[in-house]
Amino acid sequence: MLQAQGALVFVEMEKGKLPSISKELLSAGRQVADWLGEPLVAMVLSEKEEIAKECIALGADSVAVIKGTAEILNEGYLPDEYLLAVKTVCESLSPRILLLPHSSIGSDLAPRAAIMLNTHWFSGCTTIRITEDKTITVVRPILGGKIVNNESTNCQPLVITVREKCYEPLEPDWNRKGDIQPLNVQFDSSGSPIKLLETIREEAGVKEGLKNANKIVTGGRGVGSEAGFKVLKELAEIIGGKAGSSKGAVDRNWISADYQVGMTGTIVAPRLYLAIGLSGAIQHMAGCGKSKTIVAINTDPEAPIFKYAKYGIVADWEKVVPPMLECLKK
Amino acid sequence: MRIAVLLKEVPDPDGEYFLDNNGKIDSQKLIRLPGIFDENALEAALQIAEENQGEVTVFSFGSKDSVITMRHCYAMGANEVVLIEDDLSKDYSPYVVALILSESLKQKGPFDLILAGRESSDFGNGLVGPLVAKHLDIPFLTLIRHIELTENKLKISRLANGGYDIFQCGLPMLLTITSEEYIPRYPSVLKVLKAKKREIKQMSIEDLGINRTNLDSLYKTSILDRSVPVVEGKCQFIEGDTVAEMARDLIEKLSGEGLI
Repeated sequence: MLQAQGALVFVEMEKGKLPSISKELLSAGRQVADWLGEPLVAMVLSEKEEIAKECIALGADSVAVIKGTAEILNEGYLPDEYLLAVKTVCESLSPRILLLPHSSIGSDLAPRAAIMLNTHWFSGCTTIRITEDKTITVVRPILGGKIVNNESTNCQPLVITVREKCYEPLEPDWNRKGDIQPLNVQFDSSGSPIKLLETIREEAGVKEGLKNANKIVTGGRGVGSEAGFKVLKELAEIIGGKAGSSKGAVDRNWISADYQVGMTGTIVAPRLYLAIGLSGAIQHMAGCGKSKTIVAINTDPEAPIFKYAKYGIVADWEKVVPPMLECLKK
Repeated sequence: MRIAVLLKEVPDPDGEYFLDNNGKIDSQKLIRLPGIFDENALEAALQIAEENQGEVTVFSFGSKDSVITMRHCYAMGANEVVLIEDDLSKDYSPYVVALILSESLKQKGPFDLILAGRESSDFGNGLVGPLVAKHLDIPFLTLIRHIELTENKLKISRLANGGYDIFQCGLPMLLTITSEEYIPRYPSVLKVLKAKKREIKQMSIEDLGINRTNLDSLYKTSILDRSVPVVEGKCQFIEGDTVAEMARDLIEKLSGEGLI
């Protein structure tokens, strides 16, 4: 067995590109590698050279490119094949830490990897820390974010999934140098008990739009009706943003679940987050708390949302939004 | 078709939580409920059982007080409810819970399909399902939003970024369930009353042949500290004689900052 060292990032791909979460993860991995004074390796299931180069520009010291993946990538997430790729890289590198995104792929692959490596999986972390004696610890929100745990383990390697929007991607530095190493993995899907039949993706979906929006207008229970959400959508459109919703409004069928922002909905971090008739429950804030500027309109001055807001108006939104629209149309 | 559901009783996720002086979570005053996703898993199991003449057994590792939650499982339609009862159950790690549930599944099994919530609504480790699958040496898949069963083959829809994936697999299988489709049913008053008379099979850790002293080695993590997140309120409230004036003032401030 090799001496364990360094951090390994599992780089998830989306439509042949690096999604933001992978860039965020490389940034988290860079920080950990610097603390330890050890290398950061990215593992990529893509043979495209520009992806490997981008990983290096974004902080990786080297990139393990899994060979023989073209057909697998075209198919989508195959648990056993992805696990075999992770296993192959871990056997060759023996990393101290394995970072994965807390995405649908990451949160299925991570427990598989942890079981295979006989270690623990820290699920849904927001921050990775290091103590004075160089122990890595993780910050995990529990109970929907009402309590925050700082946890550690004696197991190695640490398998950690990191939530979206918790780290800022590094500015790409195209002068950074790094090794790109091909790694052959013997894939054989015939023995796998789980077969992927079909992948269904919503084109230009609502969730995708929310995730990348710079401005979001979100309504809560205070919006009161489906008609109310039509007004909010108009406001969102006029400022060049997207509409969102709390879980409470979705549960009342005023708007579809795709619009839901929060811990179990889409996680967003726009420049402007306009929260209308929304109380600001902690589960909701877990999905939008990283927004640069939050503005709240609510009739209840005690609503928690005002604690997060930079600007607030205590009034009925139905009286505030029409003059806002009028003003914006001029 | 025998279906098992793994269900955890949790304190009300919408309740208010405090930490005591030792950093322990004080949830004594909160009502206790079935875990959100675990209840989705039970609903999924009931629907599949109804369509395929199956039967549903619920397994839970909890304290004596969980009996009310266990009765709710009967009221929803479970055929049998097994409570592995231990007063310390709230403090056990997912590794211990997975071992205990696996032993009880072996004792009452075999099962064709085992369903669990995608994660517990309290600690949210998401580990018990995968670990049980490992103990029973069966495959698993997480984040399942819909299941179809035809001729002993499962066609399952799994959440993916921006959509979903359709997988096919055989039995036995362990799946963890999400909240999108399997909205738990409300049992009728009649069913609630009938459930009160049903027996809840109670077992202890020792009944499963597990030596309590061996469980200590299964703790893989330690919690260094806990905190309740504090948010600093520094909201600038916009005032004015009329609401329209306040609205204009807000637009001016936001456009002044280049936000709109």
